[in-house]
Amino acid sequence: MTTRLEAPKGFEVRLLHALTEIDAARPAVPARPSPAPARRRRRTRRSLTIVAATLIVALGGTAAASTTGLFHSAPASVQRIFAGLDGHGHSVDAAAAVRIGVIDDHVAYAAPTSGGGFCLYFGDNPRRSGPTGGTCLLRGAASDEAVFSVLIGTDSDLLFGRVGTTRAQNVTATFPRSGQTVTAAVLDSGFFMVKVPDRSARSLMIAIPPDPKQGVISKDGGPILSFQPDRVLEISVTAFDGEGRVVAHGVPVDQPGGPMPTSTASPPR
Amino acid sequence: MGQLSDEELLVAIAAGPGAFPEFYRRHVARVTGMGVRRFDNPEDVADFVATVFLEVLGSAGGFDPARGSAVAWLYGVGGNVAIAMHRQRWRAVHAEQRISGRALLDSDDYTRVEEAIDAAARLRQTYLAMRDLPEQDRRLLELVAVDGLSSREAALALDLTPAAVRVRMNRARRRLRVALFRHDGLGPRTLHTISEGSA
Repeated sequence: MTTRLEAPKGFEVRLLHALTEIDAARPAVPARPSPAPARRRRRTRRSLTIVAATLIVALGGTAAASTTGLFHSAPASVQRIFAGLDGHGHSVDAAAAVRIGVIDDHVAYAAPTSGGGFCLYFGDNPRRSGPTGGTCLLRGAASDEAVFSVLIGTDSDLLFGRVGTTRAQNVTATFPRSGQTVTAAVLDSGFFMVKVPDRSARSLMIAIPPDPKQGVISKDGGPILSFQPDRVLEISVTAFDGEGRVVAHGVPVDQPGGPMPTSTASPPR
Repeated sequence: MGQLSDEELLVAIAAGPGAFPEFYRRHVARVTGMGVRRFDNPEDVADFVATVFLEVLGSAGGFDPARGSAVAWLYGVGGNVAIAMHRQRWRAVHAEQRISGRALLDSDDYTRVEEAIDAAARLRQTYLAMRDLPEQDRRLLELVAVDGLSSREAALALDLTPAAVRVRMNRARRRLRVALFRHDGLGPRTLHTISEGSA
């Protein structure tokens, strides 16, 4: 059987974006002995159900892509929010804001800044906790760079950034200590974002034991997890083209004012 | 990823993220082709393509390179999805549609997919006429007569021996001849196409 090498077009391209987001969100499966057939079948069905549920979420983000492949402009209400953002000395081009995807049912928008960077904003969703608010990466990406940072949330953390070359199709991130690797599809305009797996998110933190004498108190008496910004520097990010060639290397970039904690109604991890 | 074989890509998909986009790019045209030969409207075709690749993501772990090629496995997945979608339609379970591939269609897609659907009208007629055949025979005949696989490729897709395929093909052709005349009035040309095993 021969392999067809026709470039996808139309809805097939948009479907690829949606499925690639799902693929990137899947955990890596360690090699293990083959389970018994009946058990394997049950496991496949279960994982498929999970993937299907995720697809519906992902399609919500990418189905809106226009016929030209460009993502939709942000609505006026979001543009007004970008216009009011503190660009830390850079102006935010609110009129150029676009919708770039969806994480946990929260729509993400991005707008360019005068310094070549961008600001990110997550729309509200009262029905589900997730990333909200916004942050900026004020440094632009050179043609061989993928600038990135980590957004800390109460539900989950998010690695996000932008690649400086249009050749990039995927970005992989390997986290310190956990050794976990995740892959994110590069969206239009070079943006990428992917949820940080729980184990890797934990590796970006240190546990501080409660010490009432020193005023370190936790609600449940357990250790307090503290995010360590310097560990973001240890995340290895690489961008690849469609042939698997490296086209950009990761450059961790500070967010002005530090990573911005998101506010959600969900219980802390 | 570009240098990996289809089989290696499926194994990599089962192991974790990263390999799927390449596999998709290689085979989306093939799967869309399967869709237009089985469904007569763009929405169902888009849903079919989305569901097949969703199944690939969820079921790649079940692929065994020792038992056949990746493409044969993919055709097997596609056949299962098509059957499930037709059954779902018969039972009118639209409310539980898991995949919204149709939400991705735009006006250009409608034109393009409808043209492909029109071009595949004869093959789709054959496909629909096969509904009355026993499932095993129908699956085999679909792959050979509708999708254009060789008998050997169909054997791999269905995990049958070549001898079993020959026996089933002969039986299926006889049964389909009756079904075609009864339902659609299709003539010898269609039957010749099926006998030749080309699409």
